[in-house]
Amino acid sequence: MFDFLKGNRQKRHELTFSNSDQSVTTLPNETVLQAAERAGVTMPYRCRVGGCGTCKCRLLAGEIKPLTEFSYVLSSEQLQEGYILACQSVPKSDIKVEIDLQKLAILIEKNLIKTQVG
Amino acid sequence: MFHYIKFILFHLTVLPAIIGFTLGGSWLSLGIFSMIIFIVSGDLLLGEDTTTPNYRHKWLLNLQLYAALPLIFLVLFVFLWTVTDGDPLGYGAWIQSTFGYDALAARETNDIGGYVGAIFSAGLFIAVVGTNIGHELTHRTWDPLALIVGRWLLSFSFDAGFSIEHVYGHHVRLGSKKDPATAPRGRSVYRHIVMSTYLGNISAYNIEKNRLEKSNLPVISIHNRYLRGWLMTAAILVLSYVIAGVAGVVMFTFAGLWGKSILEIVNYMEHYGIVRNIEVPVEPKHSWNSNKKISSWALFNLPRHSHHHAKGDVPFWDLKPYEGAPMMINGYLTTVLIALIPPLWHHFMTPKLIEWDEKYANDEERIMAARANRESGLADLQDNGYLKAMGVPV
Repeated sequence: MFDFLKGNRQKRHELTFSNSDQSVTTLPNETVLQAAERAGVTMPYRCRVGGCGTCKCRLLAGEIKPLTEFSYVLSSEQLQEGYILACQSVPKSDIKVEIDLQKLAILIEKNLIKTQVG
Repeated sequence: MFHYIKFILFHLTVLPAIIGFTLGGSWLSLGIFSMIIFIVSGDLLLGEDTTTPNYRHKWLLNLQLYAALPLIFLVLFVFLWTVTDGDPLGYGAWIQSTFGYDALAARETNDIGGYVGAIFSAGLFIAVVGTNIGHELTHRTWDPLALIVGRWLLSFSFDAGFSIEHVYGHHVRLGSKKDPATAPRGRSVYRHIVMSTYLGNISAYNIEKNRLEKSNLPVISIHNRYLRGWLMTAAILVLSYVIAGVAGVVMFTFAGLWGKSILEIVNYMEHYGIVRNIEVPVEPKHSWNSNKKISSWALFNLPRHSHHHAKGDVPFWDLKPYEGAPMMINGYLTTVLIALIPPLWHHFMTPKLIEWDEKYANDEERIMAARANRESGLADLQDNGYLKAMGVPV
């Protein structure tokens, strides 16, 4: 509620997808998933509120602010390995993430996700 | 400016309830009757609000949301004041000296029928003020203040666990058989209130248990947000006892459970009969939408439900009307009243389900719909004639 007191400290950051080396500059408060969609990068997702874990990806570099507690869906091992939920992560610095392409391919094959036209 | 002020309708709806409790006697049910008359006729006569304003001063909207907390305590206090023998906080004396109305004498004329009306009124506002705003705030999982206030608002309807089940359960399982809040075709609203309450609580407990186990924390402990939620409700029960004794506890319990029932009636209306493969992303077609003006203003855009589910990460002020989404029968309160009469509900909803299957469903969902129809027990759906005509293998 008191976000307005903080002023305009939210900065834009560079988000890079290690799979394709595509990158996008994020908007203030934008999540990784939202930025990916804006850039035309296909990422798996389902619920967008941090409950299903479909958008799980790995943070390879940089820092994010989690918008929910990841332990609702991620195990402590996965958290240690650097997994994050794209729909609930706002970059705090320039970051690099890895999308699980194998999983994405399965979802596309099963017609469970629509690929985006960039 | 108008687009900031329109939501004040929400705060104003509480006034008749408080005035009614204070006037006593036959006025005790003023709150619920004025809501029904005003909201139902407003939605029937004034049509839709499909505007999408671009808000700059979001703190003004947040302020209106957070005002719900003092407001719900005010409603609870005046509601409980109607059953006390004394005059807690000197409320009756203050009314007498300010408005010249002898509220204490009027209170002596309260009878059992009046109290039933008061319970229905208070429960309605526990749902509108508590559950509705609690829902919006507990979606803000990144904001500790929003979560605390939201969970307190929910605990008035014995339902702080909703903050867990709704976000991490319902938003994932929507439309599938695993979702307690999605009523299958043919179920009555009364059965749904019981089933969704029971299964929703089990789900909230299990989700929380899972989280604690993943974090290597003890399940039965202060870390458990589901159990802590019940402590919050227990605190309100103690407060009710302090204000109005055993009668206060009984009155609050009835009102709170009625408030919870209203939430489940609304869940019923928002998701009835929709089918979805739990593995596919949620789309706007997976919930029933309403853009009725008065319902939208009085409920902070909650009726724009199709966008809320498809994009659960969007705050209420950015929700779009999605005019192409499947539409609920009418505004929220009108549809609540229809849902309470099952034959009338099916009269309106069976054609809507058929339209949903024809217009919105994909091939997989049509097969799921055929099965849901067979299990519905509804004569108009069971033979699946319209699906056969479309070539669906039923």
